Amino acid sequence: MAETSALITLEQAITDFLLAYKKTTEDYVLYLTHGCRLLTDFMIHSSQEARTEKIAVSALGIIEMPSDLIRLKDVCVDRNGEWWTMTERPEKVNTTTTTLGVEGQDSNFGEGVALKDGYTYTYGATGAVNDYYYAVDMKARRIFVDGLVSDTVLIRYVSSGIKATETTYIPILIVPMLEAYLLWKETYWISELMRERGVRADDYKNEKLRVRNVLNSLTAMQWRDIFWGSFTQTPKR
Amino acid sequence: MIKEEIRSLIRGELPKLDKTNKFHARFIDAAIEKVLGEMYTDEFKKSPHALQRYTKGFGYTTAIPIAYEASTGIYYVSYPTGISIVPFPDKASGVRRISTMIQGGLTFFPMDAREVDLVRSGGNVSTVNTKIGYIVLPTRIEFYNMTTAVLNDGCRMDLIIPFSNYADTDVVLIPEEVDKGGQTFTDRVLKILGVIQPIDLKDDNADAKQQTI
Repeated sequence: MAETSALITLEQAITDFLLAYKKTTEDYVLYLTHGCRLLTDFMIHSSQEARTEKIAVSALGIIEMPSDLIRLKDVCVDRNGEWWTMTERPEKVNTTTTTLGVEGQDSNFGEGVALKDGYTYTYGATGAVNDYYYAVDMKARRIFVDGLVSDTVLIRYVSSGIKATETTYIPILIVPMLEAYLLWKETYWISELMRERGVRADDYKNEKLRVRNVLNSLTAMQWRDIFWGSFTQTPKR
Repeated sequence: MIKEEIRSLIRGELPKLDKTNKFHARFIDAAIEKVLGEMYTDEFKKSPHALQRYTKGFGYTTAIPIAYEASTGIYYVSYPTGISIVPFPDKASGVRRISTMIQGGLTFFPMDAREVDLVRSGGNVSTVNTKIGYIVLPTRIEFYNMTTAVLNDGCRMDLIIPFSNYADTDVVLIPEEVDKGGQTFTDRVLKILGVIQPIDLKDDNADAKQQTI
């Protein structure tokens, strides 16, 4: 590796912070708590990172959500080497019927019935339609899929960023934001710093915007692709 | 200076009230201990980091063994025999540092018992944290998140101990500070001892005790 890693552990970020700001280890556990909160906040509101997981669709067309799923970003199937995104249809029936302890579907109630696309001939014809749909039931933590059963699909989702059994890493890109966040939050338990709370909150917002600028902006090469992609080649005569 | 020399310095400075001049060593030590405790606290108020300069290390040659209390499920170490700590307001109190025998990165950090209860109640800290918290109690130090490796190897620690706990040949570092009244360490100790006549030291002064019988 030519230079230092782009990822560091969350714990390392906290110990670096303690060193950089001449703090004792007295409140290590508090800073670590807030570090976890910042990471989750970042994953939900700023990061474009999505956790990707292949997941089974049951015979009833139901996906049981992973326990760490906070927000669903995508449900896909593979088509020609790329992921094909299903279309969300919130109106899809999301109930099941249990008979003698066995979960099933009552088609009289619309359960498991294939969705139909609206169609119109000639004028006013609808555009393209998807072969696959899904409906999300966050309360039941289930995804009801239309178009396939007993298969495997891919889901992309936002998680907390905090690993349950492995080491939790963060990108060094967000370290300045993390430190600004910790300096802001410590004003809540260090009473002498109460007057600085507003200033430090602003510092955190600025650092957050800097991170978001990097994440959301296009690189020079991406801009060039857009620019060149807008041209149409014509034969030279 | 070593402990003996500090005591001797104070004894030499004491007014000669009678020919016996019987200030018992333990009594002088107690006065020194009180003043040193105050001066350590002054240092702490300026910067908790500064206290590291006044610590005494334990377990550097032979690791301090970590014990397990089956009835509570708590890992702990007892203070070395005959040693207590000077208490300070922060969580580390007089236990300024605990380390693994082989020096590594940060492994131990101070916690209070309330924090341990809260962390154990859930939350992400217990998931992310790999370090060991230590809780300073009057009679022992308890641990949170003890690991097998550290348990097997034991630990070493830097303590701020009372003056009376030092051996006579130990070097005792005294903060070179003067108080707001311009008084140095010796001034402050002598001020405590100066108001008490040697004859009144009934607790330890054998000669004085005999005289009052």
